[in-house]
Amino acid sequence: MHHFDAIEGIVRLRTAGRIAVAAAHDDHVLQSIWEVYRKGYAHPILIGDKEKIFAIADQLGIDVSTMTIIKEMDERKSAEIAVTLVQNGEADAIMKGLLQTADLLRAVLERDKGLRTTGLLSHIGLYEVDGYSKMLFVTDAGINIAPDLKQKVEIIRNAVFVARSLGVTTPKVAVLAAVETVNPNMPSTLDAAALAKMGQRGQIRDCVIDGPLAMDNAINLEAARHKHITSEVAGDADILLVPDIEAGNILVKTLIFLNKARSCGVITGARVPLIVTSRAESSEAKYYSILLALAMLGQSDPERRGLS
Amino acid sequence: MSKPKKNILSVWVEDKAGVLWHVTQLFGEENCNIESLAVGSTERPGISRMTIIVGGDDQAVDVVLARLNRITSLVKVKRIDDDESVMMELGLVMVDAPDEKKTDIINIVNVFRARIVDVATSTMTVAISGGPPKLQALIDLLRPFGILEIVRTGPIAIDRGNKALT
Repeated sequence: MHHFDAIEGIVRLRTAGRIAVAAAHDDHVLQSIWEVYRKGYAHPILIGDKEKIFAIADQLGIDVSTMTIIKEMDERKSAEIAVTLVQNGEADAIMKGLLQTADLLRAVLERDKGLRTTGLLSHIGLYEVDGYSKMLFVTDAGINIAPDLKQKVEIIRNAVFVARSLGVTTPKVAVLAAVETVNPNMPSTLDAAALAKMGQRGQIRDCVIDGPLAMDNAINLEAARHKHITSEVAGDADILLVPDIEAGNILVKTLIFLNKARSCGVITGARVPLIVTSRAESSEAKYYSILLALAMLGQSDPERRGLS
Repeated sequence: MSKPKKNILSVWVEDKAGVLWHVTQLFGEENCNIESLAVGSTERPGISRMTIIVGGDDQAVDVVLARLNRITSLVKVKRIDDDESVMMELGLVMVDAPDEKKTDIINIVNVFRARIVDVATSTMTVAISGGPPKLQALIDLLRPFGILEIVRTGPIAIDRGNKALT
C-alpha cells in the first residue's frame, strides 16, 4: 500500500462514522469535513458558534444545514460536549476545530467523564513519500515529549493498531536512534534494544520490531546492507518510532517541506480516535486525517482497552 | 398494517421572544403538521426544550430539520427514537359523573393509577400521566360516561440510560 488513495478505498467500504467536531467554526475544518460528508463517509456533528459556522459555510459555498449542529459559544464546553457525545454512544471520533489542543485533550483525559483507557495517548503520522515503496507511519512526533521505555511500548502498540486498521497486518517497526549499535551513552539505543527484544519475546504483539536503527538503514536496504545489518525490518520499515518529540518533529517537517510528502495523522489511545490537525496543515492533510480516523473505527484491538 | 412511525423531535432553544414562532412557522412552511408541542425550561438557565411530534414523511421532516438548523437561537435538534426513550404526557379529563356512576369511574381511575383531582355535583376531573397510549386507553373507557373536556400537555421525552443532555 503506497498511496493515500488506499485509505479512501478502506473507508469507502465502511459504514459512515459519526464525527463530533469541537469548535467547528473554522474554514479548513469545515471544508475537509464537508468533503467526507459529501462522499457519504461520515456524519459530522458540528459543535460551536453557529452563526460563524453558517457564515463560513456560505463563504465556502458548502451546505452544512443537513449536518447535526449544536450551538455552543464556549470552546472548552464544545470539547466537553464532543466527549459526552462519545460517552452517549452518539459519536465515534472527535475532531479538533478552532480551540487549543490542550483544551480538547483536557476534556478527553478528564478523570471521571473523559475517554481515558488504560493506554497512553500518542500521535501517529502517516506519510506518502516519493521513493519509498510504502506509506510510512511516524510516531510520536506530537504528544509525548520524551517517552520512557514503558511509554514507548504503548506508543508502538498504538501505531501497530493504526497500521493494522489500514491492512498492514504485521507492521515492521524500526526503533530509531542516531546509530544502529547499542551504545550505553545513548539511552535511546538501550530502549531500542529492549523494545526489539520485547517484540521478539511476544511482549509486543502483531508486529516485528528491530532497533536501534539509524534512519538510513531503517528505510534504505542498500544502507542496511552496507552496514551488514541482518534484519527483517531494516530497509523495509512500516513504522518509525522516534526517540523523542524533537527528533520526530524534525523528521516529519523534513518529509513534508523538503520531500513534499503527503501527510495525515491521528491521536490514538483514547476510547475513540482524535483528529487533531494544525491550521498550518493543508485541507488535504485534514481530509486524509479524517479518513485515517474513520479507517480505525470498528477495528478490534485485543490489547486496546475499550477502543470502539 | 402497522401505523406510520411518528417523528419525535427534541429541540433545545434559547429562551428568547419569537423563537417558538420561528420554529413552528418552519413546520407550516414545509407542510408538516405539528401533532403535539410541549415546551418547558431545562437544567440550563436560558435554554428551553421543546418536544415536537410531527406527522409527514421523513424526507419532509429532514427538510424542516435542515431549515431549523439555520435558526441561530436554536441550540440543538435531535430525533428521539421511541424505543430508546421514556415518553410521558399529562392529561386532565372532566367526565360527566352523576352519583350512581361515580363508583364505576373511580374503579376505572384506580386501575389506571390515575387520580381524581376534582369532584363536583355531577362531574369528576381525572388526572392521568403516562405514555400517550395509556392516556388514550383511559379516555376511551371514560367516553361512555360522557366526556365534557379533555386537556393534554402533549408528550415530553428523554433518552433512556446514561445519555445526558449535551
